[in-house]
Amino acid sequence: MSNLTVVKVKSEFCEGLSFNLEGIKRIGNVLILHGWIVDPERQLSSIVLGNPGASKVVDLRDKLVRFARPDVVAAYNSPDANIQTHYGFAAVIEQVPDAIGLPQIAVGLVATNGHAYIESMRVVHLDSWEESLPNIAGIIPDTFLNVDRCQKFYQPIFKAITSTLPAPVDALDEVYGRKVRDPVLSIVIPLYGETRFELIQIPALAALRSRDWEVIFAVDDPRILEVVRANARRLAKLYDLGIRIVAPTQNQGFSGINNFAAAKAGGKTLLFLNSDCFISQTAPIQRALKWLRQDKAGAVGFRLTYADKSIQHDGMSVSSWNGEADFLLNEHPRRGLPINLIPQHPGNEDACLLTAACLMVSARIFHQVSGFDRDYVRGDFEDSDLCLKILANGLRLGIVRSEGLFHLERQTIGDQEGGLRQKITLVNSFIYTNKWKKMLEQGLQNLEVVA
Amino acid sequence: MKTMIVAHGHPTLHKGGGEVAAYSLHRMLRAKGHQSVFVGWGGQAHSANGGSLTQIGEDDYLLFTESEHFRFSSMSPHLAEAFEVLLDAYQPHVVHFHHYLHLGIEAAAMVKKIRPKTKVVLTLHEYLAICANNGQFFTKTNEVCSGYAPERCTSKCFPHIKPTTFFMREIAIKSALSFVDEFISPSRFLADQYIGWGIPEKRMSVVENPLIDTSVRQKLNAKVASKSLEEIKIGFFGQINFYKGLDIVVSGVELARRKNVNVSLGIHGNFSAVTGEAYVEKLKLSMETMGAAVSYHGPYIQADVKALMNGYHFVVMGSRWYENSPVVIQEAIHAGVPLIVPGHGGMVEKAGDVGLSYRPGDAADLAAVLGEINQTAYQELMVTVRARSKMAESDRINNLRKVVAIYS
Repeated sequence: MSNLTVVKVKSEFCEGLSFNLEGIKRIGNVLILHGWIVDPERQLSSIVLGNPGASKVVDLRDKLVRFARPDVVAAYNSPDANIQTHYGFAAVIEQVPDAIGLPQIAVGLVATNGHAYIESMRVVHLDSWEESLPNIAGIIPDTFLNVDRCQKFYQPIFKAITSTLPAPVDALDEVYGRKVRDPVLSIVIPLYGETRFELIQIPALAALRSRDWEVIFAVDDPRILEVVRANARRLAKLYDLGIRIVAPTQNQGFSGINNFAAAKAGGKTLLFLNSDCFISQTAPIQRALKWLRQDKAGAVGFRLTYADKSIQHDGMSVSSWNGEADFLLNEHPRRGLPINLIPQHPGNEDACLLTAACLMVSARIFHQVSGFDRDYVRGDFEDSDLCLKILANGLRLGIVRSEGLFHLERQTIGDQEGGLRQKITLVNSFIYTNKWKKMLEQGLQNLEVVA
Repeated sequence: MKTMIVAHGHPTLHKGGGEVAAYSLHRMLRAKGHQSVFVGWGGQAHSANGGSLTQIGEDDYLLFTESEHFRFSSMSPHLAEAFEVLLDAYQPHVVHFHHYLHLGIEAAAMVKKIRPKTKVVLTLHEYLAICANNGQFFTKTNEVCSGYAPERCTSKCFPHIKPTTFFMREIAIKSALSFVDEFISPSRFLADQYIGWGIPEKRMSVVENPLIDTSVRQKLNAKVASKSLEEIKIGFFGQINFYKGLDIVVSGVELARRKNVNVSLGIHGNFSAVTGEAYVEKLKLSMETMGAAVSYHGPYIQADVKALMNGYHFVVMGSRWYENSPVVIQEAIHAGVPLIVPGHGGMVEKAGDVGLSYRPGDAADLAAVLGEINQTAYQELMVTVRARSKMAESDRINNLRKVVAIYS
């Protein structure tokens, strides 16, 4: 390395080799370097973090992910271009504590001619991961995913994101209307982004007239907190319903906000209910409560329908993305079929897991398995992950198959551009599969039909 | 029996059919020795003193509240307070709501919250809970709606609103109405719509609104229509807007006259801009072109209605929407005047045996019906309608009995 000649300008670096270092970003404790390279004669020998030749450098050769850059190919007008000669690159560098927090970091490139080029790059520190996620995921513009990309690029970024999620700090814990003492059931409804759902949930739950249920709206969005409070205050005066609002100071994500509210819930049993999931009858809930009193009963879910009474959820089975064993997915069997055509015990049953859109579990068991896992970004596999943790504890899963529970689904998640949603799901799938592959390969028992 | 009648308006402020029916019931209950207090919606602002209630007579109040118009949810901070003091002061056995509009659809739940044992009754007046298009069951593409479905609401009337939003509206409204113990529908047609939508049949009764006869036949020197049908005189009574379809009636008269049917139309009522100025302007223009065959007589007061109706051989309706149980039909029957109505909804149900019907929205069919009227058929109708007229008082008493039976 001591024989390297350090050049000061790109034009002196290596003839026929062009490149651009587009940026270096920090999120949590990882750095992300990205740019593009045109190297038809394969003259680039290495990229390093730090000054080439110095003792403390991080060689990025094993960390590089290559991807197509049609814009670069077009700019160089190279009909023979391929992913080996004209490509974008990205590298995620984990755990480089010396570099974390620095405003500038040196990045070095070394060519086969013995020249080295060093560029001091300004580090963009991304503290608000929620807003930055589309940009980070967009570094690789295509939607292709494989194990290599997940391992080298997406998984460490997701890990950095989830490991830096803020611990919840109480912003609010208020009760409007009637106080429920010793509730039989605590219903936890997370709210994010929109304020219309409590306007429907409050009358719908009041109509059930279950005075020993505690209704908790867990507001995971400081922007909507005041409106939700005003609506709860107004409607609590009109309906005989106790409404509790809890809120952390910062957004926690699906798992975090549910865990936060569950820790505060007064009921021995918890019902996690998505804000766009509505209960119109008490009977299914009562049946679930009864079933949960049994020995070894772990959690119970419900047959859910869309507004037109076609099946939205009837338990989940295990499938995979394009047959890839490293990308397991949750499948919703019978989705979209009219409920009146589906018996309680359908043929070819393979549903073994439950959605958290409407999921009942005893508070003791929920806390015993440490609640919803926060390893998944923006909500995807927390529910099946929780189910697997419960099963791993030797407990059973049940499902109530009756009418009267509606899930309008994805009303709460806005449209995400550019295939980002699919990308996030698949990366979450990769993380989930890594964690549970062994248990899933052994096969799971079908859900126990409670009613 | 102690009752509290709560209506979406007060007839001293607005003489809509629902308000009149609610106030009639209040007066008839008192006349029969029951204790009744009347609370009518007075407006969105507040009383002169800044409160939510104003007393305007003995056991007679105006209530000032505000509600939004999609789910009819109360937006008034003082609604609960107003009901608390009223229920505490009067301790009614029954709170009978007429409509849910303006009041806040949570009012029934609030009564149950304050006085759980008080019975809550709701008289339904039209289809607002089911239909977000002003409860008309008439689409913005100018068709009679074939029934509630969230997807249809989006495709026919509100393309910018998702079907799921209508479904959530349905959940919220049904939940609020679940606190009503008994529903009263003045027509079978309206009852069927609500039952089909999800109101339990066992909680629904069909009882016509018992209306006090406030008309004074002798007050006017109005001309009584001759027995001869040389010139068929038809009269239109009520609000004039697009949904009421006076334009269809005017066109029907025009087409009939072109076929040498000697028919004339008298119009009594207010032009309403609620469905747009353009409709009113166009209608006025077409009325003018008809010359003496169409005459507009302006608004009327309830006390005169019988006398005015007796100046016609038929009372005519043109409603594009289904209606419920239009007061004008009861009034025509009381006056002993047969009707010509569009053949759908509450109109054909209420006027079927005392009138003629035509295809809804079809001026040519109305013209054909007018052309087929003859002396014999008219006399037969007169016999029937007069018999019904004679029974009006006993009908009123029977209907009041039925309502009281629902209370107990």
